[in-house]
Amino acid sequence: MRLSKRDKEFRLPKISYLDFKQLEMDRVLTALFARLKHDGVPSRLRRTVEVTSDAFVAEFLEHPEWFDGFDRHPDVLRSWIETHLMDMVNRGKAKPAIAAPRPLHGYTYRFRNPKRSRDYGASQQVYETLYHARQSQGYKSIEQLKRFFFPGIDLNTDKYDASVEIDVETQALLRLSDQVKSDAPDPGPRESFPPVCFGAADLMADDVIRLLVYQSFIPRSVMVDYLKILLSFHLALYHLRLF
Amino acid sequence: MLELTSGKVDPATVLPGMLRAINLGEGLTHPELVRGRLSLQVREAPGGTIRSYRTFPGDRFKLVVQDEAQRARFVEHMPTKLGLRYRGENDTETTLDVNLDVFEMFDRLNHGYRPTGEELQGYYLSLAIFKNILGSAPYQEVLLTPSGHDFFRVRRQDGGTLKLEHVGAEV
Repeated sequence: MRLSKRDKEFRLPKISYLDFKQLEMDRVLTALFARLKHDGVPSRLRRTVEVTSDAFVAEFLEHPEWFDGFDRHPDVLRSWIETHLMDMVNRGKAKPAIAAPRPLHGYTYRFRNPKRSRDYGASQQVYETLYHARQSQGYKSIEQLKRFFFPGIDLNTDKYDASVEIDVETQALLRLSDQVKSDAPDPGPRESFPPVCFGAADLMADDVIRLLVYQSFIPRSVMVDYLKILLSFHLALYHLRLF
Repeated sequence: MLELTSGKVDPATVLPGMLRAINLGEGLTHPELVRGRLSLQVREAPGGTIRSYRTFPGDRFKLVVQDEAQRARFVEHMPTKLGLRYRGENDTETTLDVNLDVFEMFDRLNHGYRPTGEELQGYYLSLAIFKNILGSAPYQEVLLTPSGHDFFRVRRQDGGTLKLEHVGAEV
C-alpha cells in the first residue's frame, strides 16, 4: 500500500530518519560513503548534469596513460562499465540509466546521479545508529568502515597511493574519482539524535566490527555484499522492534 | 567415486574433468578455451552484456583422497570423500571437500546440467565458500567475454595503470 502525504507527515527524526520506501542497498551505501567522508554530513554536488555511460567511456579514452588499450575496443569498454562498474537503473531494458558506480570504493558517491540514487534517510539512520553506539564501539566501527571503503587513498592528504594492492574494478573507479574535486559537505547543520534503543546500536556496531575482521579473507565485492546484508538486517530489525 | 577412494584410479586423472565442471557451472560454454585453468565469475549481473572472470592456473590444483578415520587403528574404515586442494601463491592451502553429492553434481555439470535454485542453496554452497576463499586476494587481472568464445584481458600494472588487450579465442 502506498503511503499518502498525510501518513508521511508523521516522520520524526528523533525516532527514525527513515522514509518508508523500498530501499536499494547499493544506493544506501553510496550515500553512507559521503557521510563517512564528511563525518556524518551528506555531500553536496556542484555538478548539475546527469552522469551517463558515454561520459565514463570518454573519460577512459581521454587518459591512455592510465587506461591503456581501451581505445581499440570501445564496445567492450562500454559493456564492462555498464555491467561491472555501475549500479544501473533498468539494466538490459529500455532507457537504462546510471544511479551511481558500484559501491566498491568510498569515492563512488561523487559520481552518483542524485535523482536515481536515493537512500530515503537510510544512510543517516545507519550512520547515526553507529555513531551513538556505547563504549566507543560506534567510533571504532565508523573508523573501520572508513578504512575498508577508502583503500588506496591517504585519508589525511586525500591523495592516491599506488603502493596499496587493490583489485581491477576498484582501481578503475579510483582513477575516475581521483579527478573529481567538486565535492563539499552539505553546509546545513547535522541532524543527530541518539537512537531510541541503544542496545540495537551497540549490537550493530559490534557486528560491523566483527564482520570486518574477515576483510582480508573474503573478496572485496563479496564483503561489500555481506555488509549490505548486515546493515539492511539491522535496519529492519530495529524498526520491527520500534513499531 | 568408489574406484577413486579405494585407490584403483589415480585422482589426478579425474582432476581436469572436475575443473571443467566448475568452469561450466560458472557459465563458460567452451571451457576448453581456458586451457585447463579454473575460471570463476567475478559477479553475476542480471541483464549484463559482458561476463568477467578470474582465472587460476590448473597446476596449482590437486585432488587427494581424504580419509578422516585414518587414525583409527582397530576399526575398519575407508575414505568417504575427496579433497580438491588449491595451493596459493604464498603457499596457503584451500580445500574443497568433494563428497558423493558434490562429485555427482560435477558429473552432471559435465553433461550439461544447470543446478536449480535449491541445489545452489544446498551443497553447491560449499563450492561458493571455496570460491570465496580462492578469490580473497586482490586480483590484478580479469578476463572479459561478451560471447563466451572471444576473450579480452584487463590487467592492473605497476603504478596503477589498467591495460586492456584482446586475447582471442584461446586464453
